[in-house]
Amino acid sequence: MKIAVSATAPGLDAEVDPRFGRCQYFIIVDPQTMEFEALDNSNAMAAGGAGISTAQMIASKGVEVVLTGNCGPNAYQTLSAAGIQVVTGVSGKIKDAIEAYKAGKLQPNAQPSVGSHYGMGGGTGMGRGMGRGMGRGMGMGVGMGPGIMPEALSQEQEIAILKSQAQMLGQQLNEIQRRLEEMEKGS
Amino acid sequence: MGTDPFAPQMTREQELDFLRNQAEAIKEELDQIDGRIKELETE
Repeated sequence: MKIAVSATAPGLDAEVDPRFGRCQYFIIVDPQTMEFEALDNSNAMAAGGAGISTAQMIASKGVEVVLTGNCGPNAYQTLSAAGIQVVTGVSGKIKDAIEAYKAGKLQPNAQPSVGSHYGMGGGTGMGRGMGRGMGRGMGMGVGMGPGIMPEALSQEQEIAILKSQAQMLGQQLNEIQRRLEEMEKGS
Repeated sequence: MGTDPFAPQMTREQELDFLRNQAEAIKEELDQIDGRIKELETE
């Protein structure tokens, strides 16, 4: 079994990072042996789509459980589609979080713990300048699509993730189209 | 919150262009995803 924990530094003594998609590192731990692998989260500074891309990366590592501080709807949906349990509200040191999970003190969530775009730095400036439609559009244009689907996923997991992505993109497209209509009517 | 003096300013036309480009990019992405889903479902 593998547990992924969002972390502020690459070791078991690091603190749990409260963000999922934009955390600095992931520590992937075998809870039986406490052997671990530290992963740099290349999506931490992504312009958009960090939650989904990070969730895909985690799914590709064969992880069964994610421990983190908070998890937004896009990441949560992608992780759930891959059959990964998500536990939020976790804080403190990584090794203590693993011990708490092993002791049955941490339970998986049935839903995301925060809204979209939690943990994005500088969100206010971007949102105000470009308007609602722009902000959302920028969030989804990056790092998505079937080309980057991790190879370790089963066919069923990949289909589930793709369907969930298609649904989210469809919603974003509707919002952009609504905003376009609003702007065009206003001319 | 208040006004952010460092927020990027865009004209209405720029925003419209951006939104149209985004819509186009998302449609392409959706087509790719649909194609991949069909591919996987027929495997």
